Amino acid sequence: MSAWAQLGLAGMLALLATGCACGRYGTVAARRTLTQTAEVIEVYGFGALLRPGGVDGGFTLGWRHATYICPRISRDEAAASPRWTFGIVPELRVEPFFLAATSIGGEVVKYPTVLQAHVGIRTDAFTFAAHADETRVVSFRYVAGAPDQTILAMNPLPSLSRP
Amino acid sequence: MKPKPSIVLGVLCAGLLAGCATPSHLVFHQSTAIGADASANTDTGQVHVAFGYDRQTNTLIPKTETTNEHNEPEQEAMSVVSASEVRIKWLGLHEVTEQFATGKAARNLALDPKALGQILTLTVPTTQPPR
Repeated sequence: MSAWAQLGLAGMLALLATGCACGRYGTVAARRTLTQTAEVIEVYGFGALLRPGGVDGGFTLGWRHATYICPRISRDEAAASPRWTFGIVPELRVEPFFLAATSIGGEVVKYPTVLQAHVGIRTDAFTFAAHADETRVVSFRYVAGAPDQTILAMNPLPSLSRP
Repeated sequence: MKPKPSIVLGVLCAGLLAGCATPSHLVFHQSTAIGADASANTDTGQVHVAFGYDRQTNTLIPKTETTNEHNEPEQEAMSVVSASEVRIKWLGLHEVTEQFATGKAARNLALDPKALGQILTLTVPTTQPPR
């Protein structure tokens, strides 16, 4: 094992041992589901959760469940049953079209349109529908607990870009 | 030298007002909060503080550049046709169904009421509410 791999493993173990998550790593579990038209990533985290960037950058102390839904652009993977990962969150390949987040505890978070701080329980759901000058037709359906039934038919599809 | 509180407040207000611009995206937003909650809209500069229970549903519609009948440039809300249904179970989101068209597609749909009706009636609940 290389020195960088050992350092990464030590960092990951330190995050897990202290109940922390930083970015995509730490005390998180993620479920990724690919449907015919959408990619659904559900992230469950607890402890001290720091998200340095992205569409929901901020800090959470407590429990958080976030669902990111992106249009499926690449066809290099077949639609498959949900796959769980622990300690690491799969990377978003395009800007999410839909974001839902529930947190219990304290949180400071910066969404693209809202900067917020709260103590208690909070649920947010955002649909980032289209840019100001964009012509787009969308049909979207999501049922919590059934991510494999998610439909996100979008015309035209966005180009590949990281959020 | 210690800055005066009024100067600090002025700078903060200027910072907030600097954010008073049209949003860059069309955004549908629902939120439910229990506890102490403070939020600021980064596009409009509006600040919201709540204690206890609070529930909001907002749509941010950006402005686009158009021209009026005198061919002068002006800004107006972007064209949108949309139908949404959001089901909340307790505090969590249960089901979302949305159909919408923006820009030229929305303007074309608005000219054809039959097609518009067909699009909007796609937003139907999966289960009927109990009678």
